Amino acid sequence: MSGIRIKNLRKSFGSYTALHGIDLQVPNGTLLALLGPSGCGKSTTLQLLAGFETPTDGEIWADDVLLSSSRGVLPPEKRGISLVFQNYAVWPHKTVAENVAFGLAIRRLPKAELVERLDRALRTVRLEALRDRYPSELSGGQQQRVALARALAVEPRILLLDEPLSNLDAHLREEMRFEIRQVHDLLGITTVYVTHDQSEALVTADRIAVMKSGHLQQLGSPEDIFERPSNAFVATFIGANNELAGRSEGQGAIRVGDRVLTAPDRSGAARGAPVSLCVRPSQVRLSEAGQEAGQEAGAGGPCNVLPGVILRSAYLGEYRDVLVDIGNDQTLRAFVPPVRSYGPGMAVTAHCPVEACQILGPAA
Amino acid sequence: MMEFSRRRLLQTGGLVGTALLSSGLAGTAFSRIAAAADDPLYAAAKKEGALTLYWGSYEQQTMEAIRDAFKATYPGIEVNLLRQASQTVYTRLRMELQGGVNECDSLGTTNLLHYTELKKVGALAPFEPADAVNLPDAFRGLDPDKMYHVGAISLTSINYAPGKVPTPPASWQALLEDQWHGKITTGSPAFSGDVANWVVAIRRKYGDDFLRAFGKQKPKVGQSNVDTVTDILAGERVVGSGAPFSYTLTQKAAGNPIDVVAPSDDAILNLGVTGILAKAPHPNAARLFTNFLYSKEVSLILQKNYWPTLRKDVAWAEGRSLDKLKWTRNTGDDLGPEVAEGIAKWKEYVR
Amino acid sequence: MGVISTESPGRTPGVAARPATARVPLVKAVAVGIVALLLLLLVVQPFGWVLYNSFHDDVSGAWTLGNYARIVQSADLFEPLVNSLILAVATAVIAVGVGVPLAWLVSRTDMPFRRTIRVLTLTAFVTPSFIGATGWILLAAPNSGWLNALWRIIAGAEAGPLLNIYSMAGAIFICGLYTVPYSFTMVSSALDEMAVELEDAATTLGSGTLRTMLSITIPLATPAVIASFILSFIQGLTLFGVPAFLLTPTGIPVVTTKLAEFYQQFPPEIFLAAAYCMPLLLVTAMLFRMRRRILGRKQYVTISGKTRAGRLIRLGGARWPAFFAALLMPLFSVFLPYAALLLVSLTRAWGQGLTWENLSLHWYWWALFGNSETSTAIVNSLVYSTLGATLCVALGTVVAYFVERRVVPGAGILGAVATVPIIVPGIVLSVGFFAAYTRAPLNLYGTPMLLIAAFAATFLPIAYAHGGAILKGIGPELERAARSLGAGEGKAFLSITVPLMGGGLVSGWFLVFIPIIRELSVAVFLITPKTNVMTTLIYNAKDGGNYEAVCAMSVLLLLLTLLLVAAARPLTRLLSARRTSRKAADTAGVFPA
Repeated sequence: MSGIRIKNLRKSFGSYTALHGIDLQVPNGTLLALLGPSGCGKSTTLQLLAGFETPTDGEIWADDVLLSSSRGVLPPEKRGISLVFQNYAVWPHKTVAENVAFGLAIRRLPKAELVERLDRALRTVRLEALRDRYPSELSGGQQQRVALARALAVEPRILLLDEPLSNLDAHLREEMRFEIRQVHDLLGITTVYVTHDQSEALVTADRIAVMKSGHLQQLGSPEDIFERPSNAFVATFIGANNELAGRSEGQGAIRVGDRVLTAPDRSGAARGAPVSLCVRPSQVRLSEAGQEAGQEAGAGGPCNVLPGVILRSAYLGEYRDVLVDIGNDQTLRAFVPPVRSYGPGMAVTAHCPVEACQILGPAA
Repeated sequence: MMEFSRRRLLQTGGLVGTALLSSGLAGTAFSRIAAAADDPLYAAAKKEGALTLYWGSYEQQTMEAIRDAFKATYPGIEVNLLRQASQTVYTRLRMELQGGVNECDSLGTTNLLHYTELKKVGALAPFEPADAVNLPDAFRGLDPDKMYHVGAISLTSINYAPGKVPTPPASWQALLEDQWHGKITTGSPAFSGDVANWVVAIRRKYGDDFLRAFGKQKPKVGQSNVDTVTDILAGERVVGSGAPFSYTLTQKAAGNPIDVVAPSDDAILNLGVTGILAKAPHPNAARLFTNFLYSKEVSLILQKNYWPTLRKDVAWAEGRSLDKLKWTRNTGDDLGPEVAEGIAKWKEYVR
Repeated sequence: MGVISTESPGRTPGVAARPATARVPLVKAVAVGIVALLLLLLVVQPFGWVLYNSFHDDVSGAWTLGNYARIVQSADLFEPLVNSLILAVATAVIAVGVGVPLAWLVSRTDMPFRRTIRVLTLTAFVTPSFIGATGWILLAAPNSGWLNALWRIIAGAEAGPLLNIYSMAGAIFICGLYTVPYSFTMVSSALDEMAVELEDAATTLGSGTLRTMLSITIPLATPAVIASFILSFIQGLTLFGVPAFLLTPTGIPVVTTKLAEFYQQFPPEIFLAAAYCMPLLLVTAMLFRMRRRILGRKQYVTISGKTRAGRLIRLGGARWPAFFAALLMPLFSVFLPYAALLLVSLTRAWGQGLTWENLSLHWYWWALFGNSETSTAIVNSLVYSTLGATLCVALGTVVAYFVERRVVPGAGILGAVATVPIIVPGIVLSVGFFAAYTRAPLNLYGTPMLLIAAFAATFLPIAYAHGGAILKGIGPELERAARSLGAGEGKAFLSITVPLMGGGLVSGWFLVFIPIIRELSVAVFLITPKTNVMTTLIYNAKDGGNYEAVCAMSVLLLLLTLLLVAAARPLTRLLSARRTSRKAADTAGVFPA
């Protein structure tokens, strides 16, 4: 097992640049999620890690072994890196056992050891009973487990997972999420997990790298990413978020339309530069217009106060999802206790506690 | 030294030939083989052990019969027969010569021009087959330098479907009568040497007017002149122009409803020619084979297959002979351009 | 990037400045080297001679552009080019228009007797086009054709002919008919492998069966459809027998009949013939460019690691009508012409017509025993075709793999090279091979190797195109999975890709084997007495006008090939049975299970 160091990794395909210089470290034994919308470069990063592409610039190291640079790449088969594909890539002409044993056979292990490791891998993913089935006789979840077992059986230094759950139905996906985490806890293999699903990333990963348009936006623990997003993109991409676009009015202040709002400033932007005020809907409180903020609104610290009109209101059982038109073509989402009946057209005042707001710069 | 030994061989060959003749025209196979065994040319050929023939004259069946007869007469010589269309054989030989490949011993094709060309580049070896004395006089001594000889005689004529045509056209001119409009089939001079020969002869005889009138008859133009037989047997057309004489008779003999007319204004005779290559890997075997062509045995095979024989003393099938029909042959040293011109005119008027 | 710590990797001694194996791995270098060498010997060298010849004067042998000038200037040479293009486009349209729906019916639906149709279509494939043309002359010649005779019985003796095979329409019909098997085989092997979910998705959106076929299934098989269109087009350009038999009598010249004239005349104009092929090459190169533009933007990965169980589309009430429509193809390409050929082959003298006395197996006896050449030729044909097809498919598949997976930079050039031979009409190629292999370093003249190499090279484009179409249908991640588990490129190719291509490779093998066994013109200058093959013998018999023998030998050739296909069936089943235990073994493209 080894840690991964990625230095200034660039990849261009013709005139299109998929990666603009990524620096990333994955300490030994961690599970890193590469998270981002499609086209963000996460899959390219994975292909580079696996050795199927040659970087345009930069380097990839596994501990002190240089895996890839623009001058050449160590071929995939020599890296000790296993890859699990989005569509499983389970070989249809081989049985479950043959699929899993493939990598072991390549290593010319003694028969006894091969059988032992095959059995162990099948046990890890609970497929012992299906060992002689062909993939066409398996469900999607079972095929995914075959792919995982096949990758694990060779005891890789590094495990790469490319959107492994995206082809599964919702129920299976939740189950497999925990299973992957469990397997990681059991084996402790350094793992890079590519996904576009933030909740998948939050559940499984030790660390999350958020990417967009070939740039790394933020690297941190799930808490870091959620609580202290480094920019408005990360804030919006992870969890529900309100993003009010405006311009910086100097440290700690932002002009949104004709209002100036205050919040802790993490943008580092100069006065006049475009920034956003971000606040989670769950932190926004509402009161009927003309009334003072109720006791729940008044609790705890200063607020940014934004009057508006309700556009849409949805009852979701545990809370009510309300969309408020706050003028200047901007809206604000609030998750409020379901007891209050807010209907469309109602004039309200939104209260955003200053401490719950953040002024953030745009994506890198 | 070399020259001497060859002349001696020639003489011996001649002696053997005469011996063969005098030993009785109805000589048994045994006596022939016995005679062959004493033949020094055979001994030399046997030492070479093999013979490669590149032949386009005669169709596969007749050619194989000749080959088999040769093998039976001269055991111990392996014969490799490559039978392809004459032009193909010639093109291949030319390419072999260019590439410095020497495979072919004896060449036999239907175009005299091949040999004048090969002679010009020194690719042929002189040889006088002793038994060629039996050839009809008209075809003896084709080349004063003995580089090539007559290998086959073919006649171009008119064929027809007897059941459907009570009185077939008796001459080339008769083909232009109205009654044959839309009824004629023929080959293409661009594909068939025989038809090209016919075009040259007909133009010499009647000029381009004939071709013009012939074109108006709307003949069906196939590739080879063999296609005329096919069309007549199938019933697509009833009269064939520029038709193969021997082949039509073969088909008739097989029981097919077809017959042949030698036109009163001359059947067109074309000579198949044969020569021995200067760099033949088996020169003696080639000489032995060339001489064998003029044996009685080969002429009997030709007779059986309805080909004109290569001996005066062997009649054609069904008592036909060269003397009994009117024929003409395109002679001249400059046939090449005349053929090309004929094809061009054909395309203008007939096609 | 202030956010992320970028500690530079420790510069411990012994750490390589470049990855340990940045150089091209040895195995790969060797494989690429062998392929490049083979292509050089099999294609570049012979074609180089054709190209070289085209710039030389036939008479003087001097360098000249005169051949090209003649082609451009002479209307006599220009008209055949236009006719050939018309014939080729029409042939391709028919081949795709008939072959693709037929492939869909056989591969994807529950049409009755699917396998029978598959075998019968293959039978059409075995037929040399000049044999097919001969059969159809017997059927549809304006005066004597049996179908026209039948028509006159119905419509009255004075009625004009219903069909006239001696026409451009007739030639197009026959060329198209005998080219359908190409498109059929290529497209059906693509459809056999396609995930059924893609069709289901459309069906659930309310799309009817026909609509799904037209808007989903066929477009997904686009690579195979386009490849077969191009192949059919090239067939239309390079076929000699059909235009020679059907268009010459009508006075419509095409390129191949014109080429034959160059070879027939004295002196032959071989070098002009070489130049005369180059316009064909140009047109075909343009087609390939177009293909790249059409396919370039979309991805056509149809097999992935996500497998499915094969399921057929229900035609419902249309089952039997579909069957009868599908039956038309074998009816026209096999039953009718072979009935005609069979009848002729069974007569002692075919001009006598069908009487009991005239019926005889004489010509079969003659072909098999009465003629000393035939047995050698049959053995030669089978041996050369088998070895040639094997070499051809192996090389074509590997080249396709290099190109599809971009194994080496510039792999596309290898692909382009592998495509060249098919565009050059056989007779011209034959001269190229002759020139290439009768001199050092590769003097193969007179050896079987010469024919095997020539056959393999001639049909390399089919093997390459077919291999590419199959590979396009196999997701690269299946190989990548093997790579990431430690298999080198070679190992991944052999243990994953090749088995997955399985049935497709076998059908590809037959797609090459059959044209080889029926190929004539390439062999023309390459056979020697000891290395003669069946087709040259058949052509000799035709040349000698011996139609009964031609027909008998054609029927024998057909039976022999079918026998071989039948014998290969268990092999195919073995190959595809491992695919899944449940799925039937009919993935093999050309075989009935």
